[in-house]
Amino acid sequence: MATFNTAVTIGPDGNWHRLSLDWIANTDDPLVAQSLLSTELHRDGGETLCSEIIDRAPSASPPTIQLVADRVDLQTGQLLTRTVHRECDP
Amino acid sequence: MIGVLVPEGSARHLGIFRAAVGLYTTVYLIVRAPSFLSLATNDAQRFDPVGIGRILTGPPPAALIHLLFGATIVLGAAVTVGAAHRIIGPLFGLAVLALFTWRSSWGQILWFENLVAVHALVVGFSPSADAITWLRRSSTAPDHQRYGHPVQLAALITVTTYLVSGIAKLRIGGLGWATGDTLANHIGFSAQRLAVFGERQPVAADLLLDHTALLTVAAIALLGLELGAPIIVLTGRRIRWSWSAAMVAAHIGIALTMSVVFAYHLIGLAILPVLLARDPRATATAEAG
Repeated sequence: MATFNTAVTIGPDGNWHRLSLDWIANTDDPLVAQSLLSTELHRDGGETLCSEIIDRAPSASPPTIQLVADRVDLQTGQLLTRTVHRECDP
Repeated sequence: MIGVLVPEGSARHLGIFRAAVGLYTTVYLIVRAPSFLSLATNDAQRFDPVGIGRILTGPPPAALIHLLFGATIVLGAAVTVGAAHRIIGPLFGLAVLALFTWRSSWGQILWFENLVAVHALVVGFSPSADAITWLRRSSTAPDHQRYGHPVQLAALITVTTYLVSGIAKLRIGGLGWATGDTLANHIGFSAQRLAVFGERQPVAADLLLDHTALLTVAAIALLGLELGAPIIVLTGRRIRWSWSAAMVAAHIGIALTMSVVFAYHLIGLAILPVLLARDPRATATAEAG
């Protein structure tokens, strides 16, 4: 098992979708994105990163975005628990 | 013994290495331009200088970075063809070091760029443009230590990075590496990290995780290749080629199972000086004769 920081969108129906590396961290490197999330959550709780993610949203009215920590089973990929670090205010 | 440490070498081999490092760096910078340039306007609070960057109190202005980036591409192209090398070569080495240091000062040290930077310094500060240049493809310069030394130095740097990698595996994972457990965890971790970022998982991750015996063999082989790397520079041509082929195969395996692509290593440029360096036993025999 391992815990990963990442970001998800929450739709009106409550369904969630994962954000891409590019959207979260303006990169194609998962190491860079992982490092950025960790650093930013530690620095200001993700406030600055939230505003950057919203700025990069493809639509003018972005969906609800959350910075989360997902605890995942490494063997099966199953999501075990999710902790919400911050909900990004549009 | 002196022949092993500072072997003679050909201007042609050093020229090949110079052209390869110059071409790779130029193409790499052009391909990765968006990734580099987007950092120039990054939040200054994220700047955490490393290495020589520690002399800075804050990130350099974006205009200066754009200038450095463009200049490094031009210098790289010039180094590739071997133009005005006495001036261009050192500037190229220092520019690559500065640019890669700056990029690694944004919170994530990109280890795979470090070897390129050190190799760029080696070719930049050595007489590597006495052959394989736009003016002359061959060279009449006789074999000399001034050509052999840089190639041997670059080879030693390469094998040292692998040795450090092997020691790090043992320090972090202990003997778990030899059982394949730690490698399995790394592959699983990399696959799930990609999944949480909405990316596709590596094509061969599941395949290898289902075959633990294969993982154990791969883990032991990789550890042996890395820890034994320094010995390679003292061996003959056949062993060097075999080791180099195995290392490239290992990088292909890492790319397929973890989606971690070290391009410089994957296409064989990291191990190129190991292949180009003169067989030390032949040099020692010649000296004895």
